[in-house]
Amino acid sequence: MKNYVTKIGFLVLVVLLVASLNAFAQEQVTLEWFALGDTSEVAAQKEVIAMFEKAYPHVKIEVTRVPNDQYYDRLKVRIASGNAPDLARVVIEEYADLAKRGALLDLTPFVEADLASNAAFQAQWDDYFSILTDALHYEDKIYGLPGDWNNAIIFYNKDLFDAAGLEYPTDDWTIDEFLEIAQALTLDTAGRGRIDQYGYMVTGDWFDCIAPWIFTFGGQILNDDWTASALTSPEAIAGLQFIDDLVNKYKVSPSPAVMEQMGGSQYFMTGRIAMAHYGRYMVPAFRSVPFDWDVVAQPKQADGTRGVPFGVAAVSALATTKHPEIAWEFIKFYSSYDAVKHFDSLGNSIPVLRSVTEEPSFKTPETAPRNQWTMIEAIEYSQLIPSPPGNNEIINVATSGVDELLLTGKSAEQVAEEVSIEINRILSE
Amino acid sequence: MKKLFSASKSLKKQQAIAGYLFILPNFVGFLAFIFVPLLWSLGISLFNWNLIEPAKFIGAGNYLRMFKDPLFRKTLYNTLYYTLTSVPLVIVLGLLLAVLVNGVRRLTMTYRLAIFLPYLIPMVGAALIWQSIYMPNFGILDYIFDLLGLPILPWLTSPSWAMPAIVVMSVWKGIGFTFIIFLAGLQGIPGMYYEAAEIDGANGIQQFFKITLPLLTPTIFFAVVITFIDSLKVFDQAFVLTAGGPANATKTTVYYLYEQGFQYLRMGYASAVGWFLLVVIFLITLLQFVYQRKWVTYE
Repeated sequence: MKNYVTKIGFLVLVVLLVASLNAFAQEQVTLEWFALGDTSEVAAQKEVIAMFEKAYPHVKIEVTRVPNDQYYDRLKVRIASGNAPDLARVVIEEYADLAKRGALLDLTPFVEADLASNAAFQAQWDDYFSILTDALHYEDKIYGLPGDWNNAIIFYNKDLFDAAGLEYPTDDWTIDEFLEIAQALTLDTAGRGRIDQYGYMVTGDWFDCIAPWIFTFGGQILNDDWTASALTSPEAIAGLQFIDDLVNKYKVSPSPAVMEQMGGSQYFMTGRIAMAHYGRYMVPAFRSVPFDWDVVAQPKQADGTRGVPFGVAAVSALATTKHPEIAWEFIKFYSSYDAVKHFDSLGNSIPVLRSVTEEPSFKTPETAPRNQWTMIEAIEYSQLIPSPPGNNEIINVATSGVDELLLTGKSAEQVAEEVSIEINRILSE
Repeated sequence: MKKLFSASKSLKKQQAIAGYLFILPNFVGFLAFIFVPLLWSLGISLFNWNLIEPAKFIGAGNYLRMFKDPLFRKTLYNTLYYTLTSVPLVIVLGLLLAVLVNGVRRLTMTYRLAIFLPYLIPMVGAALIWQSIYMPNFGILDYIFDLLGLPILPWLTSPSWAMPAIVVMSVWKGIGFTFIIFLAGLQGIPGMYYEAAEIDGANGIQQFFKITLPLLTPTIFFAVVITFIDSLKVFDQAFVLTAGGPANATKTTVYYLYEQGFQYLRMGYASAVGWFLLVVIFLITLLQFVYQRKWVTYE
């Protein structure tokens, strides 16, 4: 009897011990990744996540896919309802806002600890383009690691150049050459008495149009610490005037309102526009156009000045995550060499690691855009697109201002003045 | 006697209970989804709230802020412009069509269907159709105008023509509603009035102005009140066709509310705008009811 009881008791003890050991060893951790992107982008993210889960078997990453245009709204609603995800991609335009409101996990202690002791991370940190890590510092703290980035370059339709017998533009072309080419490519091809092909497309977009031209004319949109508008300087006004001239004086471009009614970038992709500003994010869409195309750098002033904006998206953890250390591991992994190389196959953003861009697959690609190395060369005159809190409203104010400039009789000085007043009001809130 | 009395009393009570039970689901839904959120939004309009941080009480701050914003004033102007052009058009044209269709003997169903159909199309679908009609250079309107030798108008791409373009589209769509209402009203006018008038030697136009119109005034009143309220809330067309542009020419008050609340996350301010609009619509409707005694004749 006694023997029997002790044997059973011993067995039970052993089973309990093994079970508890199991529990300690494999504490299953689940993190939620708030995913942004179309089907192919999210598929690539899932592949990178699978690579991560293989390296960290006790971690499971749940992917919550959100349509692009609802992403930040949904993220903010999740945060407001106290049910924030663990990890998210935070684009620079939302970054300062969320960091300021304490929604993002402060990664500074993790970065410092790893820089001090982890050689692999030290190498990765040095491999990031420094403009990106600088951009992700908010009030001397860092809330994310670079996930993807883009700057503004000019896409051009090679077939239209061929039809007009023009040479393709080179990276050191000037604004005068740009204007000549744009005028030579603005034609009435169908002979109906109406211009149906334009040399350039003024999109009126904050990133793709307003910023490159203002920067190239030596102006700024906001001041250095993003607390006031700088649009009333003569240089910025000259930039605005140039945009106005492109549409109303040289008439090489349709107005943004017309462009929007014609389907936006579709207008370019059906071959009716010769040149337009976009970033590498347009490359996947451009892969299906019926014409030959490439990219070229921003044209420069006679004295060599030029400037383009760049934007970056961070991979961040939300402040309410229950597993900050594991979130940190994921964030590091997401922008490590293997992951960045994997994402480059999508081609929709510039790799954040210099080493990946130096490889032949990026530097000298076989397919369009062949000249994509110019995006890296543009770093020397790329400037972070101003992204203070309250950005959304500033962008809307600026784009309606440009609409008024192009469609009503207001002068560039007037529009700069009015937009500046609004921007300053928004920034002072 | 006693038995009869108590039987009828409990029947009444039973019927009353049954009545309340039937209303209950609707009433609970009304409370939960309309009444309580309405009150809650009135409360929120006194706060600053951006969903992420806790709400901050600012009293009447949002209401004061509204009038200081030039964009808000522009949206009020845009909304009034839309209302004061589309409502008369929808009423007059709807009435005209109703009178005409009321007079035909054959194919009445076809006419009614053709005129009423646009009203049934979802606004977003209709807006997308009209977007291609209005498309610069390639749209149907441009093509027709070109054929007729008329100047090509920059419909949705010009700040001066964008709102008229939206009014035209909305009238095309809204006519179905007023048409049907007036048709029903016309058929409610006893034929003997017309017979008597004809005997007295009145012609068609006189009959219209002396008989039809006065007897239709209750219906016209109803149509005016309803279309006025709907027009002041215009949003879908502006959102789909022009996104409030170009240069804020078609930004209506409800669009402004949407932008402030859902794009800039100023939930308190957006609620204040919503309540302001509610009060304005209520006052206008009240005014219409007070003024009706002057022009609406009830039999």
